Amino acid sequence: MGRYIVRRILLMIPVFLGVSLVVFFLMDLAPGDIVAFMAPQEATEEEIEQLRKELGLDGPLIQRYFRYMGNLLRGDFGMSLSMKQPVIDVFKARFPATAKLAFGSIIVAMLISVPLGIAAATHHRSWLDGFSMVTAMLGVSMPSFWLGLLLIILFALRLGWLPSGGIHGFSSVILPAITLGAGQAGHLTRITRSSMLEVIRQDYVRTARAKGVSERVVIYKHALKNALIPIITIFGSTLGNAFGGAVAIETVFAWPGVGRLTVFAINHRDIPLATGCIMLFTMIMTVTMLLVDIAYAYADPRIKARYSQ
Amino acid sequence: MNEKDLVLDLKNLVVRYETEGGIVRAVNGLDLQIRRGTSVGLVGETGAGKTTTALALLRLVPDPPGVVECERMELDGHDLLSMSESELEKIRGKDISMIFQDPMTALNPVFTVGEQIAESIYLHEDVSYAEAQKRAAEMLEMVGIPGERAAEYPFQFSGGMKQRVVIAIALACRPKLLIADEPTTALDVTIQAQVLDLMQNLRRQYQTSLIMITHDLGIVAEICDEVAVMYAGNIVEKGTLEDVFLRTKHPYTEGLFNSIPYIKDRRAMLTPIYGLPPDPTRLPEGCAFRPRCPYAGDDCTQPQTAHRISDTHYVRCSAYYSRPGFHIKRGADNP
Amino acid sequence: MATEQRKYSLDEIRAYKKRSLAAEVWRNYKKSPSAMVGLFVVLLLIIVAIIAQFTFDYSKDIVQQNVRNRLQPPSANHPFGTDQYGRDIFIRVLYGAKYSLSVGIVSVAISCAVGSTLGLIAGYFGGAVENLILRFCEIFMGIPSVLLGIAIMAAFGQSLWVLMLATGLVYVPMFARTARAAVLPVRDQEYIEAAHVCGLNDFQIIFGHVLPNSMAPIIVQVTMGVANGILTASHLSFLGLGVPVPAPEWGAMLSSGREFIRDYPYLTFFPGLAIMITVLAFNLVGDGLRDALDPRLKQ
Repeated sequence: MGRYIVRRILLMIPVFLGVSLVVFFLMDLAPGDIVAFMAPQEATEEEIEQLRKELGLDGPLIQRYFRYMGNLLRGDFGMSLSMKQPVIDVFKARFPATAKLAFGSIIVAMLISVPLGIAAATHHRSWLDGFSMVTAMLGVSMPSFWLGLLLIILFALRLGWLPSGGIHGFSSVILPAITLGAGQAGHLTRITRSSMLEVIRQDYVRTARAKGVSERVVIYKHALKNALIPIITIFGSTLGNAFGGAVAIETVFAWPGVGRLTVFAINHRDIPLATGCIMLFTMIMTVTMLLVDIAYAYADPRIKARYSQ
Repeated sequence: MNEKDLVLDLKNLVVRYETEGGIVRAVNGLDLQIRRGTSVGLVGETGAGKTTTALALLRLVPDPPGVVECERMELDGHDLLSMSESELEKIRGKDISMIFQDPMTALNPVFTVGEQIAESIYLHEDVSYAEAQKRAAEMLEMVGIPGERAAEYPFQFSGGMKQRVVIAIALACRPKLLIADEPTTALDVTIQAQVLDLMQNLRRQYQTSLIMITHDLGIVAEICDEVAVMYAGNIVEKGTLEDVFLRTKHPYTEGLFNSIPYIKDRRAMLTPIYGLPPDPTRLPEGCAFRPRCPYAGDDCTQPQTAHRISDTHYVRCSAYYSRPGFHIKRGADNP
Repeated sequence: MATEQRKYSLDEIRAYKKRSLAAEVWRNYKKSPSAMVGLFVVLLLIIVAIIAQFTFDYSKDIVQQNVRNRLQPPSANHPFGTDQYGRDIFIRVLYGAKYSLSVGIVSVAISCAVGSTLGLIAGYFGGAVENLILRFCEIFMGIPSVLLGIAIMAAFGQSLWVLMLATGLVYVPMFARTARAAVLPVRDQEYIEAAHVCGLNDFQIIFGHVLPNSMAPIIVQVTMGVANGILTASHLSFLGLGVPVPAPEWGAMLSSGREFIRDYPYLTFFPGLAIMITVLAFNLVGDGLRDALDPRLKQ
């Protein structure tokens, strides 16, 4: 198992190098001279060039890339131009809010999708199945920011039960988490249902029934443990979607997380901040996916055995 | 025959699957009685309704689309038809258990084999879980697998070993009736013999009655006391091993025997049964074998009833009472 | 002579085979009411987009401000009300269909063309090529799709074309993986070996034999891809990184209506509803197609 984890970590390095190259190159293409933009208006050409050197933004693209990566290895993501603070500090300050939102949404998604998917599969072709499939389809098709606005209109503005934005205690996380979780729930419900339908047709489920195991135990013990395997495999991408979706949701709910920070950085041409945010975001996602894969290996004895040898 | 000696008493079992493509008539009025400690071979082609009959006995025919109707279904004197689901759960795995065809898929991949055997014991017997696990390891030893392998997962076992595990699960609670659904079809020939021996020994030890579902007449000859030949959802001929093998009466049974290579004359041509089994959504009227039967006559369109040849031997062929002196070729040699 | 016994030319047989396969898929597809509803809505949206394009005058009906008419609630005159500049939301929503549809369709064309080709090559050749392409996909899948879209929009500037490109590029890896997965079981089939023996080159085999036999998942991915593309594009527009104002793109309309959400919720309601119905329709078609193309998968 240790070797598997080491191998996976080593495989992450080229992927992350590729990501950094893509992001760095794309952000360099962004129009406008950011140094001139942030320098005082009365600054001369020389002063601007001087500032460029100080910020490490001079020289050709490749040179700047290697300098950036060199700094990055020391944990230095550069300075945010608009906030005049190290990018890493700005990111660190905002990340917990996004993590809270993303995990909240996944909890919401799991709480809705797993029971709904199981119910749909065990009551195949009944009204319950139809209902959950329609709900799931709506969840998949609904733009999350729109759902967020509808929820704000209903629960914050009309009923006044929950805050419409900001981060003040538990009540403020409810609406954003539901908004972000709904879309994920749609996907997961569909996957749970089809995975469960597949599993309950398997011979070993019939074996369990023939042993005299009650229907409830057949479904929740014998079938579910198998049906959860594909759900765990896509958990990584679910988390990725949650982080990606957080960008718009944080904007809707004025949520002080890194998604909104990234949009802010792009809109203010704060290239070091934008680059750093996307890199850190990607890094965190990749590591989380690795953790999910390891958890998956533990859930499925077949895979665990393959890697322990 | 003493009524009390019957482990299974089944009368007029009908199973149909109501699907979009029509009504599939899987079992059509089947009668079957099994005495304590005997083994009955249920023989027939794929699709003859053998597995459906077995599932009906466990009351595990999927509903929908399956519909089960039956006049009498008694297991050791207990009426299975009137039982609630929770009563049935107490019977399944304890009084009646089943070995499924494909050992590769019959075991749950995410539980250890020990857990899967222990579950059955823990469910049906008044023991602690630790005790059930100990008994599970003993069961493994019984089927020839070291007890310490109880902690391993199914994928760590070979096909023959898996079938031994399945047998251990089925026999863990010493059932009164064991249904084995082609238990050796998926195995190598050498492993087949081992598995069959094992089943026979354990069955004798536990006084378990057996329904052996198979299309292999060799297996039947080896381990069964009685034979029931199924065609299109019904038993067309039933009798002791000698009745059916030596005094064959039904044209279909004759066809089955003619399809077996004859070891004393290796150059002899096989005589296959012509045609295909009937489409179970559109069974022919009267005898279902009529379109393929070399002896078919006008009387075969009548509904068929079981015709008594002897106390133990029955045949479902109208020719025996509507055509005096009727006999098939194979039967003629051994009147 | 053998040629005289042949009743049909090869082309005739091919045409027959194609026709009957399409007919079979259509026969299966028709069985699903939800898939038919989805198809109906998709066709209706396309017709609406075309008619709106020719009925309304962009400078007069769509973007011209009319302050006296601002923020009118829905009425017979303005079924969806008017926005903060006095423009009719109903007409803007109808006109906006063309943005969502064209972004969805063009972006899928991009991601399908690039992604499927990469996937076919990866699956067919295997080895180092496959490894390289898969690593490449991993890089692009590592970045959350909305963030990648944002980065591309920031790099190339805001316009409808860049939005199409950004959305298209985001989904390239998905197509590549779908196509590769579809090719893998086909690659080892004996008829591919037979094609090699017949002396066909790799290009002929990939496009003549491998692709037709691994089409089904790609076709389904295309319809689902239109739905995803529309959703991602509206995301970017909502964040102010899509089609520039004042174009009546649904995501952008929704975004600009946000500040009036307390008193005039219909400003955000109708554009969002339009997005949802469009995405839903394409998803229904995708589901229906998947079931129709492979009845074994139907559940």
